[in-house]
Amino acid sequence: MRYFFRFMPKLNSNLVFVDIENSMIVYVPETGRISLLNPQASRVLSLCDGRTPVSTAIDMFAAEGGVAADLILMSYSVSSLRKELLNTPIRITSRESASYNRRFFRFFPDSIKPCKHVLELQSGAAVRTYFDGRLICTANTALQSLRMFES
Amino acid sequence: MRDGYTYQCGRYIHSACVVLDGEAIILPGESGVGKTTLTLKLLGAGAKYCSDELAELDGGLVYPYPKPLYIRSPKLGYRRVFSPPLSWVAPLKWFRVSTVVFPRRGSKDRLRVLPKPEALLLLGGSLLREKVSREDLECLKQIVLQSKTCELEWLDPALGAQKIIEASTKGGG
Repeated sequence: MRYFFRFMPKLNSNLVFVDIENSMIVYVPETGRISLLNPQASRVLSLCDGRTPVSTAIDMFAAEGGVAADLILMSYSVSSLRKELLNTPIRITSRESASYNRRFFRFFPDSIKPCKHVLELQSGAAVRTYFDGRLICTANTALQSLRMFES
Repeated sequence: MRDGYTYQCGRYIHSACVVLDGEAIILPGESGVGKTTLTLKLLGAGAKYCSDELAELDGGLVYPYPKPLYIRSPKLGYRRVFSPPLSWVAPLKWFRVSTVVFPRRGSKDRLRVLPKPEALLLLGGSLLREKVSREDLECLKQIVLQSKTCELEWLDPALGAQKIIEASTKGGG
């Protein structure tokens, strides 16, 4: 897990990005997929520059006012996108994923805990974020897009 | 009428297209969402025919690709339903795209404004290209930004067509 936080993700240089109204369209030539990323997810990708470790990126994202769901999205999308978007693929086992899930909940600030975020994490696959039993729209939009990259 | 699918040389999307008051309305979508059905109703309401299948795009403009209208029926297969007379067909020139409507069959007739990013995503999915370039996406972005973008859930094609016309004639983006 320490490895994951030190990892410095870098985007695949073949990707085509187009900005539109604070969101981003990304095209993956290898698969022919086009996805829509919301502002949070777009910011995540902008931090995948090959020089910013995941831990630093999470801190930067939090400092910019990202909410808990986006923090998780930030950290997890890095692994979700690893197969097609990143130059250097990273691998997370199901055990690491579970451990990561537990650690994240432990480190939630008290101010965020009452929001009752529940996160379902599966090994590098689907991520669902709930708020009081409802899917969080902002995070979910991005998550849906990110899920499209899973093989 | 233009013959054959020569989309290798242009930027084509899988979309129906009509011209109303000199501006183009495009209806991108997969087969079966009702492009041809709605196009027929729009023609009945006075629109000029461009295509029920392909739209060639460039710089915020669309070029007609008039061909006989075909409908895919589960029982009868792919069959020609109508060959519009030439007086119904839009002239072969570039038209500014003013409205992009993504139709889908549903249980009621309603039109909702689609956010531009979502519209670009859907339009990108309709692009008939093996490899999409930045120029392709920028072209689609220009069309999305200059047009009214809506999603139409339709049950009655006549009502659906009416809603499309209302959307295209109403002001605002």
